[in-house]
Amino acid sequence: MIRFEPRAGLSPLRSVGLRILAVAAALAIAAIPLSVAGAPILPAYAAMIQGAAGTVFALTETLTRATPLIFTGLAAAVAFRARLFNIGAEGQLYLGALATIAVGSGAVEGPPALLVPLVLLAAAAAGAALMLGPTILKVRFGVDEVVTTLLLNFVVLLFVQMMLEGPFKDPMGGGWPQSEPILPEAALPPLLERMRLHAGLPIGIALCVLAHILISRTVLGCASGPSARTRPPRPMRAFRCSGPAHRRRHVGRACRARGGLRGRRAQGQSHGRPVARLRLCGIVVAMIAGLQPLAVIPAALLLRASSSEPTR
Amino acid sequence: MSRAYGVSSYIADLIVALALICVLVAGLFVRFRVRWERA
Repeated sequence: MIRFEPRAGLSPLRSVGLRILAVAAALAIAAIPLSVAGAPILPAYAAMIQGAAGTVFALTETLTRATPLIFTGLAAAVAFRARLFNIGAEGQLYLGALATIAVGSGAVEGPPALLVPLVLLAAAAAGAALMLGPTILKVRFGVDEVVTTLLLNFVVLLFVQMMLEGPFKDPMGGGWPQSEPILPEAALPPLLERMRLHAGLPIGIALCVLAHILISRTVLGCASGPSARTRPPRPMRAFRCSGPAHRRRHVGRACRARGGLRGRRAQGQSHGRPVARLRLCGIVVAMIAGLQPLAVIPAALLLRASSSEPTR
Repeated sequence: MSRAYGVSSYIADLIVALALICVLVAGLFVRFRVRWERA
C-alpha cells in the first residue's frame, strides 16, 4: 500500500533546485520523441539554445517574446496563490488593448513621459475593471469565478469586434476590422536601437520583484493566500488571515491585481501582434514557476526559448 | 530547432508540457514523503 505523508517544509534552495531538476528531466524525456522524429538530440538542443540566445538579435527576440508571458505568468501566479482560478485572461487582455487604443491613438496628446504611464494605467484599469463583475459575484453570491471569467471572454471578444468594426475602426485600414495605430509617443520605448526589445521587460521584472516582496515580506502578502503547505514568512506569522471578511478583501485585491496585470500586458501587446497563443500560457508559466513571482521570469524565458529557431 | 531539423513545431509545446508535468510531480514528491507499506 502506498501512503503519502506530508513533509515539514520546503526551503527556498530546495525549491529552486527542484525546478531546475524538473526542467532537466523534461528535456531528457523530450529527447525520446525527438529521436523518434529523427532529430539528433544534442545538436537539436544546441540549435534551440543558439536560436534563443546565440546572437544579440536572438537574445533580444527571446526577451521580447517572453515579456508578455512574464506579465501573464505573474498575473496567474498572484491570482492562483489566492485560490482564485481566473480563466478570463483573454478577455482582460483584449479589453486592456482596447483601452490602450482608446487613450493612445490620438484622444490624448502629449510627451511620452505623460502618455506612456497614462496608457499603462488605462490598460491596467480596464483589465481590473473586467474582474469587478466576477469579483462581486464570487464575494457576494459565491459564484464560481471559473465560469464567470471564462464566459466573459466571449462577451469581451464580441465587444472588441463591435468596436473594431465601429467606433475604433481605422479609416485607412482598407475595410479590415482593425484599429488605428497608437501614437509613437504612447508606445513603450525600445531599449536597443533597431531591436524590438522594449521597456515592457524591465517593467515586468520590476513587477515580479515587487510581487515577491509584497508576498514574502509584508502583511499584505498574507492576503495572497499562503498555502497550508508552506510556513508564512516572519512578518506574517502573527497575522491571522481567516474569516469571511478578510477573505472577501483578499479575493477582491487579488482579482484587481490580476486584472490589472493582464491589462498592463495588453499595453505591450497592442501593436497588432498575434495574441491568441498567449491566453493559456500564463497559467503554464505560473505553474512551472510554482506560483513564485521571481520564478516567473525564467519560466517565461523557458517557454519562449523552447520554440526558438537558430538564425542563419 | 524544429525547422532546422525538420521535426514538428509542436515539439516546443511537448517540451513545455513535459516541464510542467515534471515540476508538478517533483512538487508532489517534495511536499509528501511516499511510504510503501505491506498490507
